[in-house]
Amino acid sequence: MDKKPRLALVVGAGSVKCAAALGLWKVLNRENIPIDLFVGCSGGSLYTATMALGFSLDECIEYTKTLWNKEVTAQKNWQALLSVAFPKLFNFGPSFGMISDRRMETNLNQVFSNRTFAEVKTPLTIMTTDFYTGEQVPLNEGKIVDAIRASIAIPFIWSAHKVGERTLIDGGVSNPMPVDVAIKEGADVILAMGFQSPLPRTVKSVSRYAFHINSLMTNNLYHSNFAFHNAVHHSEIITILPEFEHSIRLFDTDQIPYVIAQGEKAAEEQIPYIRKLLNIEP
Amino acid sequence: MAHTHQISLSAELESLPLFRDLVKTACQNMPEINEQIVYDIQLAVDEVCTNIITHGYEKMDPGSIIMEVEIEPHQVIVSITDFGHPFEPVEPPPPNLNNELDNLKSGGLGLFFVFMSVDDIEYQSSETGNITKLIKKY
Amino acid sequence: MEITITTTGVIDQIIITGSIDALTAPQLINTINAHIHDGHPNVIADFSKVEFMSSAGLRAILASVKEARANGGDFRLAAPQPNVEKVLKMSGFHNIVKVFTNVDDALASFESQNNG
Repeated sequence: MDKKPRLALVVGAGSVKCAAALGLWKVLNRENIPIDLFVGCSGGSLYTATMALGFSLDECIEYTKTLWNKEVTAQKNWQALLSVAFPKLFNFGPSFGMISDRRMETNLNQVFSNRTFAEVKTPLTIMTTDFYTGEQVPLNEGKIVDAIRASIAIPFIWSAHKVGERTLIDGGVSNPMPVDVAIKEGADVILAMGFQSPLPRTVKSVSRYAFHINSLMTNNLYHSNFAFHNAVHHSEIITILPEFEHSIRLFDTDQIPYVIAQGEKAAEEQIPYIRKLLNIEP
Repeated sequence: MAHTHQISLSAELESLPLFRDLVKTACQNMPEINEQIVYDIQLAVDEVCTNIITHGYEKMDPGSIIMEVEIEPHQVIVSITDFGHPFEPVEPPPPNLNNELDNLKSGGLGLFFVFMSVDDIEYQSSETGNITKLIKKY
Repeated sequence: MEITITTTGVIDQIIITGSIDALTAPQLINTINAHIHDGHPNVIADFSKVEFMSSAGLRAILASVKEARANGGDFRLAAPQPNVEKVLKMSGFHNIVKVFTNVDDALASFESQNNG
């Protein structure tokens, strides 16, 4: 191949575990390996967006603390919860979500304000899912905050988000680790960071039952999509799978330094191979 | 009134367009059977016959394939009879993580199309041959 | 199936007429591969005259896409008929291959890429 191989970074769904992408990014910066294309899904969309906008590593870590904290999930959406019991009276509908999204939207706006995809330094695509058809809807135009808000609309937790004419939800519902976007855009070497969705320790309530089933389906989709993507890509897909000794729950924000360190560790293991593929001398 | 079209051809890839053409001929003059339905049946017929031709008669003298298309009220039934190795079209297994392009070659994708294109599939194998029945509602 | 190749500038168009099945797919793969190895890794396949395509056709597309990309180019599809497009969607191929509603859009996609 005459041209330099194009390198894509795909960060899949994984809520707070996606912060491991910052550890990977730290290693790539240190090794002077630039990314040509970012693709993010659900929690991964937050990190790929900050990287694509060119924020520094320290800024990204700071923003993570702003974006993911316990306050974000503190406020229950009472109207939605009541609508489960009294669907007509409290107007149950496609915008159902158990947690109020006010705080999250405020935080997202604080970090991304009105920035659009046109302002990124490196091309970025964020994966979402059409609520009505289930189709994948990759977004790379418009306000970044809208795309992220839609991409992290985890079923049952946060409501769907309208972008233009479409009602969108969590990208993980259609494509938890959207390697195919990088393939379609002509990336040669693809770094794919993906996570298994965690299963609740016990299934003692309706909401936990819903999360449990949702995780099972997401994990199965993740595996079968990945098998397909591997079969259809002409070049390398390098998986970077951080390992965690204990389970990281949805809003374990105090675990972020540990999560980043594990991402760094997983990335370091792949560096010799990445260098070789990109013809970079150590 | 139900009517039937039948054709018997040698099990070779050159016969594929003729099998597909018979589906089209059989569905002609049936305004309720739209182009999409005809295409779906053609796709399933093509995939089943391709499988028989490339795998069913493997290491055997090339035999023949008999295809019969019956138009019934509200459904089309295509019966494909061959005399090769029995092969039950079960739903494709879930992909495994070490999948490679070569695995995609061995008919998994084709079978997936058969299951997606018709409403029902019946298979029976006996000393007198293997019969694959494809049922498509319209 | 018939294949004709026309060249406009740096982008070649491969016009396919007829059916792509297990019988004709090998010929399509061979023609496209030979063309790519001849120094033309950027290819547009004009599918407007493809009346039928089976899974063998998908494998031909996949082989062509991989070969074009491995040689630094891309293989893009233009103007598939609705039935063929349905097959592309059903198999998830529209997520990995760029598909355009007409040849002009496919041409433009290569041009904007070269300018950008």
